[in-house]
Amino acid sequence: MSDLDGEEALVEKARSGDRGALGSLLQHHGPRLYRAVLLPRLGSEAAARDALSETYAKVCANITKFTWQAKGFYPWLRVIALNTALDQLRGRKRTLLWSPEDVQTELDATNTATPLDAKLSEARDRAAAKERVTKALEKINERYAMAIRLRVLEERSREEVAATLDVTVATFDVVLHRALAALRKVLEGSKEGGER
Amino acid sequence: MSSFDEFDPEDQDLILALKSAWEPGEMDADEAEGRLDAALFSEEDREFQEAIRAAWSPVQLPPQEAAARLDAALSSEEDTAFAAALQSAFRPQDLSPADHAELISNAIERGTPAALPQRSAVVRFLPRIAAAASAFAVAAGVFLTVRGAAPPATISVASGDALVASEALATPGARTERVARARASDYRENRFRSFGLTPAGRGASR
Repeated sequence: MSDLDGEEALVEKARSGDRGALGSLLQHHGPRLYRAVLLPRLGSEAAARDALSETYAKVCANITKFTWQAKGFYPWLRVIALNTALDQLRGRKRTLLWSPEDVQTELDATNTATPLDAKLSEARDRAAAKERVTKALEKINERYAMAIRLRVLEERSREEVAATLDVTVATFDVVLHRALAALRKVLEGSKEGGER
Repeated sequence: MSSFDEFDPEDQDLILALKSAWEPGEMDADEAEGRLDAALFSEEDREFQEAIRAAWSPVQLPPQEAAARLDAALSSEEDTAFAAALQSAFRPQDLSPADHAELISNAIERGTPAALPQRSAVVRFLPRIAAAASAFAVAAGVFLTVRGAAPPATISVASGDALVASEALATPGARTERVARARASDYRENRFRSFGLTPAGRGASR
């Protein structure tokens, strides 16, 4: 799909019941929804996959209600995906990086903010997710933050990170465990305090 | 910190408190570590550390058991889930194309009937109903044309007019006049009765 005109034509076909057109739209936008909206907010591949599936079901059921807008199909898909993520988060006992209130705030913002095209929207979503992690890491001990950054985010080997931190691998395992506990505590504290 | 065995136990407490406040000494390294552990780590953390130590001390445990305990300690469900959540936010991975295609096809298979323009059953069948009605009307028209003129329809008579209508020779004007007379007579008779009078010649039977 090269431009919005082509997308608009596909949307019209999809609205009239063309399965192929609907499939093309989902094929095009689905990966972006998954990696930029669902996976960061839900935190696990299984949950994000379920949410994407549910998002698709809602799109199929409501495609006739969609009204074409200047920024295309993606903003509408994103709102549906955010609502689906919100439902999932509300059903959880514990949340980590995103709470239901956070997602609700994002949804409220979509009502007032000017819609973004798909690429810009994805870039903003991903930057916001990284910033959320970075800010949380800034609140814990620097050594703990480094352990998490190197091992979890950059996925370096235990041996390499242990050497960087100048500890044995066994000690590093303990350090990482403590680091995660500290980060979890910070996140839970910031949720209780209403800040993130 | 020095021992003050020569003092009474009650005094020892006080002396140690004073000494600690005035010139705090270094705690024994092992004790310090033990106290720090007790303060910093939960029971779960201590189990984790124990598992790590056990795994790295083959003297205490057979290697296989030690490895198993280490795996168990490192694959803490909570830590794994948390690490995955962090990774998902920081560097989300793409869904595999095959999985994605399956999700789409499932959604479309299940959802497409609903995606079609929603029309009620009556609206959907309206064209068929109209076509059937038209065909019936044409057929009826052809039948009547082929059969010729229909016999004159029998006029149905309302029960109220049955008496009058049965008089074939009576003209409409005469019938109307007779009905009006009869009703006027009934009306007068009813008024007389309401006054307690019986019209002459009608008798009590009326």
